[in-house]
Amino acid sequence: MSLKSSTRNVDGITVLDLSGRITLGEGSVVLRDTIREILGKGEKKILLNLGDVTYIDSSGIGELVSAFTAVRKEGGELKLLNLTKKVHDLLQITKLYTVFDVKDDEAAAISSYTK
Amino acid sequence: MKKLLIVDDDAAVVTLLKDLLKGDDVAITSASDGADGWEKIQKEKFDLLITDVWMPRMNGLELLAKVRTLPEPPFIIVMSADDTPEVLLNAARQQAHQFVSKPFKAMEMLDLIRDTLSMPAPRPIEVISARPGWVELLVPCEIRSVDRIHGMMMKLKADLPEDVRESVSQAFRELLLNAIEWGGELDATRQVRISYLRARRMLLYRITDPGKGFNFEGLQHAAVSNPPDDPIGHMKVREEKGLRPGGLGILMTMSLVDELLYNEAQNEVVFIKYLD
Repeated sequence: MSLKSSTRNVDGITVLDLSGRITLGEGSVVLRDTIREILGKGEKKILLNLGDVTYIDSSGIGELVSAFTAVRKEGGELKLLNLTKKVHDLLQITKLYTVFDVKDDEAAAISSYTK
Repeated sequence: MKKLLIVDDDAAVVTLLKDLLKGDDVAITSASDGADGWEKIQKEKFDLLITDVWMPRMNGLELLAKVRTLPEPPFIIVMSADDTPEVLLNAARQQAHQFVSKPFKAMEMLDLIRDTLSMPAPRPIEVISARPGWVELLVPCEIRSVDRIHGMMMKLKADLPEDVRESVSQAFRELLLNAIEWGGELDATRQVRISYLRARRMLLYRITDPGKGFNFEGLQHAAVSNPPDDPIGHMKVREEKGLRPGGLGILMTMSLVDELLYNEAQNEVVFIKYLD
């Protein structure tokens, strides 16, 4: 299944719900374009909900890093929510787990952003 | 308007697929078995053939063997509850592009049909060996080959524990992607050679790409070259070089398998996963 995305605003934070596969090609492009679109609207506090991501490859992990650095360059914050075990393990083995701020509870994640 | 032929002796599956595609600009014809399907294919040119495997009179694999002889065969999706290695590999040998296990998820099937109908015809995968314990394929260097082969190889190891299956499949996908993207430069006229051997105590994969190879010293754009305290250092190099985000495949693979070996030119890689 290709990647599907939808955004919602919770207390000033843009929550991006992703479902499907983030792989080289369409999935990575959807993620990249969506992040650009959000930043283009001036929204810089982004929470990526990966709970329904069924598969991710190295290109998809690369897109997560790219999104993280793009948001940081704009002075914003990007955090990850609801990692599946698979994504969690891949972030561990690529040593990227420490780069991201990872949350497993949406309410706690929302309140953790700098006001 | 695209033309789709569904061949299945299970009327409920045919009805489900027709209902799924109701709003799409697709002309659907159905056939109740391989013989009926072959009759219809000879009279009309179809863009996509979706066929079951086990049916009366002529089974789906026999149908595919006939369809291959056509000057312009359609895309082929095989769907079956029988996803044993023999059936999977036979379907691949007969140029099936995708194999879907029954029962399938309706929306995933719909996505697959839409994706398939929107793409130009892929180059064929050549099956050199289709023994379940020794598979050897020649694969065109295009990105969509990765999903085709990855899905098939994942199903070949259905009896293994899920964590082993996932680790090996992920490693295989990453190295195949490297071979197709960097070695084959996404040139669909070139081919990557894949061998998969399953022994009692190990799985062995060998991937040979048509490129000149590489050396690790020149891989500053890959995470494997990062100093321990800078896990995203390579991303800056990639940005400077105008490369897409990524560069994590080899690092990931090193953690997912037991042995990773390159030949001297490094256009050929072997990885091994021990099963005990």
